[in-house]
Amino acid sequence: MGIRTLNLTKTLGDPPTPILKNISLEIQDGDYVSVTGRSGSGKSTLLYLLSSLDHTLEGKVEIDGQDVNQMSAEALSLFRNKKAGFVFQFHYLVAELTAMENVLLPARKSGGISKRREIATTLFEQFGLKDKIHRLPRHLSGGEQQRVAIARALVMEPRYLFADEPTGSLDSENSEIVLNLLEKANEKQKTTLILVTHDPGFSRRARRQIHLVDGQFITP
Amino acid sequence: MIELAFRYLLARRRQTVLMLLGFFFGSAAFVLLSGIMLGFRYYLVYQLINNDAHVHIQAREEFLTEHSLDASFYGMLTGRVFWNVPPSGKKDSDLVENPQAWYERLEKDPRVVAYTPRLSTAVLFSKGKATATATLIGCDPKSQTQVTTLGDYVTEGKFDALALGGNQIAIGERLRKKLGVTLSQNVLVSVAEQKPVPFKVVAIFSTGNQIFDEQAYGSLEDVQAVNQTPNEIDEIAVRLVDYKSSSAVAKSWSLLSEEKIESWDQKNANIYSVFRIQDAVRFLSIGSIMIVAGFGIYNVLNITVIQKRKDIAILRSMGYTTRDIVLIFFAQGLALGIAGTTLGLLFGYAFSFFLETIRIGAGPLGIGVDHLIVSREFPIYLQSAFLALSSASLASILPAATAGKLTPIEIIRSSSE
Repeated sequence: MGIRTLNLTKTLGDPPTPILKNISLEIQDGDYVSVTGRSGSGKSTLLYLLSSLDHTLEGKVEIDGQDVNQMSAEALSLFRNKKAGFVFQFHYLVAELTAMENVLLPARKSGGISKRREIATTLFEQFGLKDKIHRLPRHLSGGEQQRVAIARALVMEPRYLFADEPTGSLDSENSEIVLNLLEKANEKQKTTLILVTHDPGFSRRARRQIHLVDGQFITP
Repeated sequence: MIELAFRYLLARRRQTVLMLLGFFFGSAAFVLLSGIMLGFRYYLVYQLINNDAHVHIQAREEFLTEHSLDASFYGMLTGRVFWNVPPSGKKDSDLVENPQAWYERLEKDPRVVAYTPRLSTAVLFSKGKATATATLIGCDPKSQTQVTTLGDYVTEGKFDALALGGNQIAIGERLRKKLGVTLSQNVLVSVAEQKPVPFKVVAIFSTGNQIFDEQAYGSLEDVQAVNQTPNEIDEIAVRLVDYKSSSAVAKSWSLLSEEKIESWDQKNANIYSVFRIQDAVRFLSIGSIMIVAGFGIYNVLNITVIQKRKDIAILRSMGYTTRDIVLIFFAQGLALGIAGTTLGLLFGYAFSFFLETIRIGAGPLGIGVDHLIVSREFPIYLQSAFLALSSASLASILPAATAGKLTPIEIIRSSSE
C-alpha cells in the first residue's frame, strides 16, 4: 500500500514560515527513498510528516490508505509500535537500560518479548554486538550506540523504516556500517526505507532520490 | 512501564533514598505521635468510662426565661406577661422526683448492666484541725461497684463494708491526705450549720483521677440522714452494656422524662474539645511533614522529566501513549510513597513497643501506669498511609502530566537545535 501525500504543506513559527509547499508523492512498499537538501529545506519535517510523528492540517498524508489526520491516538500508537521503526541522528538510547533492554523497548509496549528477544539476539549477532548485549549505552562507542538504535528500530520487523540523518554524528567507517545495515533491512526484509541525509554519496545509493529546495522537491 | 520507572529510580539512588526518607519519617512520626496521644486519650477515656457511670439521671434543671412564668399568671391560652425586671435563674428540684419509675424502666432495659441510686452532697470533713470541703456520695455499695470499677481501686479496707451502715465511709486518697486520716479512724462530717456527725473510714481508694480521689462514699441511708433528706436521691448512675451507645441511650431516655440525663461523654465535653484540638495539631504538624516530602518528589520528578525528554520522545516514537508516559513518571513518585510509608509504618510499629518501656515516673494522671501508653490501633496506620500516599500521588501526578503532554516532534526538534 505504501505512503502517499497530497498537496502537503507545513508552516512553522511566528510569523508562519512555510517549510513544505504542496508536496505530493507516493512511496511504494519496499521502496528505498533518500531525501536530501540544505539545512532548513524541510527534509526532516517531511520525514516526520510521512512517519506520523508530526501532522499538518494543510494537505494529506495517507499510510496504507489511511488518512493520518483521521487516525485515532490508539491507531497511531499501534502503527508506530508495529509498523514503523525510527533511527535519528542521535541514538536516543535509554541510559539506564542495557543494549538488549533498549532494543526490546518496543516489544515491552506490545508484548511478545520472548519472540522479539530471539530476533534481537540475531540482530546483535548481525551487527557485531553479540558481546555487548548487556552493556549500558555509556559503555558503547558512538557507532555501537547507533547500531543498537537500528536494532531497536528493526526488532519489531517494521514495514517502514524512517531514518533522519542516521550517520550525521558518525565517522565515515561507522557511517558505512550503519547505512549497510539499513540497506540490508530494505533488501532482505523488503522494509520501506526513507532516509534523510546530507551526504550526496549516500543519497545516490537509494533507488529513488528526492531533493528539497525551499520546501519543494525536485527529482534529480 | 513499571519496570522502567523502577530503573529510573535505581539509577539515581541518592535522590531516591532522600525522597524515600521524607515519607519514612513522616509516616513513622505520624504513627508514633498519634499512638502516644491516642494511647493517653484511651487511658483517660477508660478511666472516665469505668470510674464513673455511663449515664447519669439527675434532678431536672430548667433555666428561667422572660416568659417562663406566663402560664402561672394567665393560663396557657392568654397573652404574655411583660416585666420591668424579667425573672432569671434556675428553677429546679434537687431531687429525682419519681425514682421508682426509673428503677422499673432500668430493670427492663436490656442495654443496662446495673444502676445505683445516689445522693451527693457538699460537706465539710474535719479531723482535728484539718478540714476539707468535698463531695460525699451516698450509694448502694453493692450496685455502686457494679456501675463503676471503684471497688478495684480500693487500696485499704473494703468498699462493701459500707453496706453495713452505721456511718461508715470510703474516702479518696487525696482527701485522706488532706485530712491526715487513716483506716478505721473517724472524721467529722458537717452539712451546712448542722451538728457534725462522726463517720468511720472503712475503705481508702485511689483511682489516679484527682476529681474522684477527692470524693468520699457512704451508704445511701447514712448520707440521706446527714443531709436530712430521707428516701430522696438526686441521681441514678447507670452502667450500659455498650459504653459507646451512652449518648444515644441518654438521648432516648431524655424524651421520656424531664430529668436531666447526661452520658459520660456529654458530661466531659470539655475534654473532648481538647481532644479535637489535639487532633488538629496532630494532623497539621504531620501533614506539613508530608507536604515537604511531597515537594521533594515534585521537584525531583520535575527535574527528571526535563532530563528524560529524549527518552520520552523515543518512547512516543515507539508507540508508547500519553498514558504510558504518565504512568512511568507517576509510578516513580507513588512507588517512593508506598516504600517510604511502608517502612515508616513498620518502624513506627516496632518503635512503639520500645516507647512503652520508657518510664515516666508517676504516670499520666499522677498514679496508675508508670510508663508511656502507645496506641497501635489500625486506623492510625490507615490515616498515616492515606496522608502519605495522597501527598505522593499529588506530587507525582503534576510532573507526570507534564511529561505526558510532551510530543515527540517538539522534543526532537529542540534536541536537534
